[in-house]
Amino acid sequence: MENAAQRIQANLEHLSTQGADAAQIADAAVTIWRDINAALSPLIGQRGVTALYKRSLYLSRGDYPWLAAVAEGALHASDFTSLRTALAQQTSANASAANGALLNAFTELLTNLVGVSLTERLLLSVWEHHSNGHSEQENT
Amino acid sequence: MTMDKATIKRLATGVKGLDEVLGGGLPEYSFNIIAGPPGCGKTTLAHQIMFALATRERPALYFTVLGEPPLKMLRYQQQFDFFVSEKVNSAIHFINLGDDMAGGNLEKVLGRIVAEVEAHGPSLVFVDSFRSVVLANQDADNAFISLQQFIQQLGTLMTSWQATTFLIGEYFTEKEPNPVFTVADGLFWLRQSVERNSMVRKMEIMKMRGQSTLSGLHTFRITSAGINVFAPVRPTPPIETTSPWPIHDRLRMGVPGLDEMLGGGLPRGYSLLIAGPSGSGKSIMATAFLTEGARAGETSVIAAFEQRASSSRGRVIDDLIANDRIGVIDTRAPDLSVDEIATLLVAEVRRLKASRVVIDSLSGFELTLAPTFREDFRESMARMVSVLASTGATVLMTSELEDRYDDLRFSPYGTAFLTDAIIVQRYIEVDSRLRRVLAVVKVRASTHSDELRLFEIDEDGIRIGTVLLSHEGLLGGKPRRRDPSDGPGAGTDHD
Repeated sequence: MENAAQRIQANLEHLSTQGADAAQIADAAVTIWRDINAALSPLIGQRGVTALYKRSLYLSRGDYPWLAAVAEGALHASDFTSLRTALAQQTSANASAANGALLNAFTELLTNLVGVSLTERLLLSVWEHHSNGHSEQENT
Repeated sequence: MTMDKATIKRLATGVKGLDEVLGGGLPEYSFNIIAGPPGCGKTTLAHQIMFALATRERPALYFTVLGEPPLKMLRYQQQFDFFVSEKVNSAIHFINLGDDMAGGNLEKVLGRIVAEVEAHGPSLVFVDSFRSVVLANQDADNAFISLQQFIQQLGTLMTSWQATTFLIGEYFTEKEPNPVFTVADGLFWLRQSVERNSMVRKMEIMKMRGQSTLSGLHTFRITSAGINVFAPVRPTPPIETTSPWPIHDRLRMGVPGLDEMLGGGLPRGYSLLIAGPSGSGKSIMATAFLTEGARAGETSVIAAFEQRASSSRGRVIDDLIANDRIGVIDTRAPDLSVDEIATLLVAEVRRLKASRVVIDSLSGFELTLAPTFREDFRESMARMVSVLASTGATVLMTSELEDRYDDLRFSPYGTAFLTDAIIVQRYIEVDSRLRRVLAVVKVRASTHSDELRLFEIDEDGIRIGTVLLSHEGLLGGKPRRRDPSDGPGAGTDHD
C-alpha cells in the first residue's frame, strides 16, 4: 500500500515522465509544500511546520547534497522560494526524485511522532488535492 | 403567559465517575477552568471530554498556546482508547495560537479565536494552556486589553456562541483569589499527592454554578482507557440478587455445624467478620461460604488481598471464577483507595446480581492502600460496609488477629462495631498440642451459640468438634484441666 508521501508525489512523477522541465516540476513541488503548510500550520503552528521541514531537508541531504543550501535559505516554512530555485537547477528526473525523498522524510517524521492514522488524517486534504491531476494548472 | 425557566442541559462527560461528582453532568454552555500542577492530567481530562462530546455537526475547537508542543500532545493523547483519529479535522479541530500569541497582544489572540469560532460553530472550546496566555500578557509592555478583560470577553463570546468552554492551565495558587475564578462557572482542581513511594491523583470540583457537586477530594486513576474518577460510593437501592431474600432468610455457611452455632445460618444482608490469627482457617471458611453459595445457585464476588505465589484458590473456586459464577476484583493496582475498591465491588455485585461478597482480608486490604488513605481506613470501611449492605448482598470479611492472651480483641481496627456478626478463631494449647477453637461472638438481633468449639481442618475443609468441657481458661491460651468435682459452669480458680 502506498503511503501519504507516495500518493502526494505521484502527480509530480507523472509530470516528470510526461516530459515537464525542471522549472515545472519545481512549481508543482512548491504547490505541494504550500498545501502541506496550509494543512499543518493551523494545528502545530508555523514554527512547528518549519522545524519539521528543516529536519526533512537535513535528513535528505545525504542523497541530495544540494538540499543543504535550501535549509539555509528557508527562513520560515511558508517561504519555499529557495526550494523552488534549487529544484529548477536540477534535471527534471532528479528534481522529482529529490522532492520525493523530501516528502518521504517529512511524512516519516510526522508518522514517527503521531502515528500512521493521524498522519494520513492530517495530510488528507493535501493528497486529495494532488491526486486529481490538476495541481499543475493551479501554479501561480 | 407562562414563565418557563431556562433548562440547563447536562452533558455526559464520558469520564467514568465524573458526571456523578459533578452532580449529574457538565452544564451546557458553562465556562470552566481545569487547573493543577504539571503532569496531573489536565490535558488528558480535556481530551477525554472532547472526544466524548464532539460531533461533526457540533465540533470542538482545541486551541493550543505555546505550552506543550501540539505535536507532542497529539503523540501522547493518541495512546488513549478514547482518541479516535477519524474525529481529527472533522469533529475536532486543533488550532495553534502560538504565532498569534508571540506578540503578547491578547486582542489579536481573541480576534483569532473569534474567527475560528465563527468558521466552525463549535459546541466545545478548549484553550490549553492558559498559563501561557497569562505569561504572555505579563511580558507585553503595551497590552491593548488586560487579562481580565480578555477572559470576560472570551466568556461572554463563548456563551453567546453557545459553546461549552474550558480553560486549561497549571496556574494560580488556590489560596490567591484570581479574577478568572470569579468569571468561571466551573472550577476543576486536579492534584497529586505523594507520600513515601506512592502517588495518588485527586480531583476537586471547587465550584460548579447551578448544581450541587460531591464535595471534597475524589481520587482518580489514569489508565489506557483514560481517566476514571472514584466518586464516594453511596448506598444504592437493593440489587435484585440471584435468589429472593426475605429479611429472615438465612444463608448457609457451608461448614457443618456452623449454621446451628449462628442460630440457623447467617441472616441474609448481614456482614460477618471472621477474626483469627494467621493460619487459623479464615480463608478456608470464606471458601466454604462461596462454594455453598454456588451450590445454592447464587453468584458471588471476591476481593482477595492476600499475597500468594499462586493465585489459585482451589479447583472448585477457580472453576466458578472461570464460569463467571464468582467475580474477582482486581486488587493488584498500586495505591488503591477504599472508594476505588468499593466502586469496583458494587459494580461487580450489580453485574452478577451477586448475593455473597468476600473480602479476604481486611489486613491485606489495608496494606494495599496508599499510605495517604490508611488514616481514614476506619471511616472508609464503615462507608464501604454500609454501601455493600445496601445492595442486599451478604458480606464476609476476614481479619488477621494478633494472638494476645491477656486481652480479648476481635479486630485490630475496631471494625467489630461495623459488622452484624462476628466469629473468632483462636489457637490454644492442650496436652502439648496446638488446637483450634472458634466461637460465635455476635449475631445482631438473633440468638446464637455461646460455645467455644474445637475445630480441625482437613482436606474436606473445616470440621467443627465438641466443646472442650474438661478445660477452662481457653481464651487465656493456657487452659487448665477442670476439676471434675466442680461440675459444669462452676469454674473457679484453683491456683
